[in-house]
Amino acid sequence: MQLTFFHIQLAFESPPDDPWRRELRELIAGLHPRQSANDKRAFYGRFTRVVAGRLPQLRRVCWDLVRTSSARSEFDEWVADLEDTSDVPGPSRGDGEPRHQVVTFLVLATRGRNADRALGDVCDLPEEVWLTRRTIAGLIAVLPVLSYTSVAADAVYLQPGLSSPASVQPGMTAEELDVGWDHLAAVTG
Amino acid sequence: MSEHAKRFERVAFFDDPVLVGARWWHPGAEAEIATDSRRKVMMILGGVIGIPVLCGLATTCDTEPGEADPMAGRTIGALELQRSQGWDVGATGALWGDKAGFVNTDLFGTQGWRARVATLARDLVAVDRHHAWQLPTLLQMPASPANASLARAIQPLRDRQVGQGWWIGGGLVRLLLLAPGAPEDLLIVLDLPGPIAVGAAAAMSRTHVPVWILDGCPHPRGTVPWQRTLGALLFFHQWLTAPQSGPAPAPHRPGVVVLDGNRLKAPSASANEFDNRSLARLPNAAALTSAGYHKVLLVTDGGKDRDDLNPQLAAWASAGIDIRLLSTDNFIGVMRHNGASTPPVELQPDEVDALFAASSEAPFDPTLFAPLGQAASQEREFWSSLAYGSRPAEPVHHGHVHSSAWRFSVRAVSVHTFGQVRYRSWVPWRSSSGSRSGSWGRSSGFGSG
Repeated sequence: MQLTFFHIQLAFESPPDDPWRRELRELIAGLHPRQSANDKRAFYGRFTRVVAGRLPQLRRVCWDLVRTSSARSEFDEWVADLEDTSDVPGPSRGDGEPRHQVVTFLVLATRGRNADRALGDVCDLPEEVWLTRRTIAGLIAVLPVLSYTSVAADAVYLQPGLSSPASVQPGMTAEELDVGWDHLAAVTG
Repeated sequence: MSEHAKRFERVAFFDDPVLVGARWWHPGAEAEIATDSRRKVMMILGGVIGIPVLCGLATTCDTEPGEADPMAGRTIGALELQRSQGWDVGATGALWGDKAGFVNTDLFGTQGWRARVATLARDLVAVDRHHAWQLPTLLQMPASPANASLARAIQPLRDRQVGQGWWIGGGLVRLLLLAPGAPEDLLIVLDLPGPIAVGAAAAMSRTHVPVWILDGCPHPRGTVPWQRTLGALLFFHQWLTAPQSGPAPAPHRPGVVVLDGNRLKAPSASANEFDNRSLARLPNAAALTSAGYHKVLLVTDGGKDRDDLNPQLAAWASAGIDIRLLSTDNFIGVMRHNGASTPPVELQPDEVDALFAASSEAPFDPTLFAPLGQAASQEREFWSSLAYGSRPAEPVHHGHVHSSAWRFSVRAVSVHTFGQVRYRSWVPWRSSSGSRSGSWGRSSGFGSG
């Protein structure tokens, strides 16, 4: 079976004490370890609604739809990179600088089935609009309506995290994004 | 596949100062994979997931019941999606942008329509020999509990198109009534933009029975503005349900099939739209002849039949049904009201007001809608004067219309929440590049920030 890999990574400007971050975290942490397809759609409906509410603060983005034989390996690579936190430095100082919260979605879908076709449709865009907020809104909005029956794996991540009010992470500065997330491109509209 | 296999298993979870995240694996997808491919997937995912995968597999052996996925194993249509999740699926709370022409009162200047929004289908679908032909999806939609917001939002429509339709319908009635040679076994098919078609059908409703074949539903970002057709129906509701007085008792009146000519409207190239287009479904030739029809007059705009009608009309013609075509392009411009003046092709708002005001205060008089520029003899010979040249050819498949109409369902799932995404449902996904990217490669330093 062939697979399709879709990913989208978003960097939002967000102050360290932004309650929006906590809202996102609680949505993820509150999920039951088992999810039906309907549960999936409901979760992504709630989650993407919260994310979409911050699109005006979206600063950088990357997304991709991989429909080649490398889909599985690219999913593998993204997961490994995201979940390997061993080399993550501690919070930087950068007092007063704007901070960023990174949100990432990954979907591995069965090629040719409904989820893949839906993803293919929303990603079929002229290059000039690839990085606009309107496009991004469309891309994340497809997540709640995918047919998860044909999704093999999915994931959602927040960077930095926040495990307790006492350990709030300030988020990345623009300079840190330039170094660690240089694959992210500035939104164009 | 067992029910529990349909569930996603969380195979990784992070909640610390560096990362919050969850990753899920779906055993159900595995069931669709050939055995060897399944092993590959498990190897690949296992390479990342490691022990959590094994835990996940173990838990799938539990007998916890799963939930049925309504989208499982089938293609869900746009209309089906709207039926199951509401008319505004994906754009909940939004409304259509074009509100021009929507008013608070109906043809008679009352608000009685408010109590009839949910009973449109029951009120307007005639139970007669045409009943089985009716496809009143649009009329049924406001009655659905899932569409309460639609029922609250919809209003009567009174705009120029509704006026044009009213005018066209009146003119057709005049022609048919005054023409001694008008065939009795004639079925009229109105294939016009929805408000025009409804207006025309309303004007003809004293002599003909409207047969609603409106298989669509509004959407806040729909390609087809079904809400305008629905609004026109509300505008004429009281007129259409008023006690009928006409030359023939209702059960014996001929039918006038009402189609929405916007049903195949081309999606905008730049806007984000929900593909709520649909195909017209006409009765077959045998049904027509058994109902007593041997002639069909297709009233349409643009001078030719629409793509989805073409094969059906060709089948009718092959079965011996005599089909002729009347274009409103030439018709609207030669109508007049009260015999006073030549109206413009497009009515002005005050003319629409005057038209409906006169109609609501006096009995409907089709002689008001006289075609200008035609001698009475031409009127009387109107049927025989219609050209045969418009007989439908053999089915012509233009490809994009048919394929998109039949295949739009899956694609609709993908577009219904974002009015921003360019949407071309008939264009196959371009797979040659294999990747459509907003990124330019990912750095090796990813995740290390």
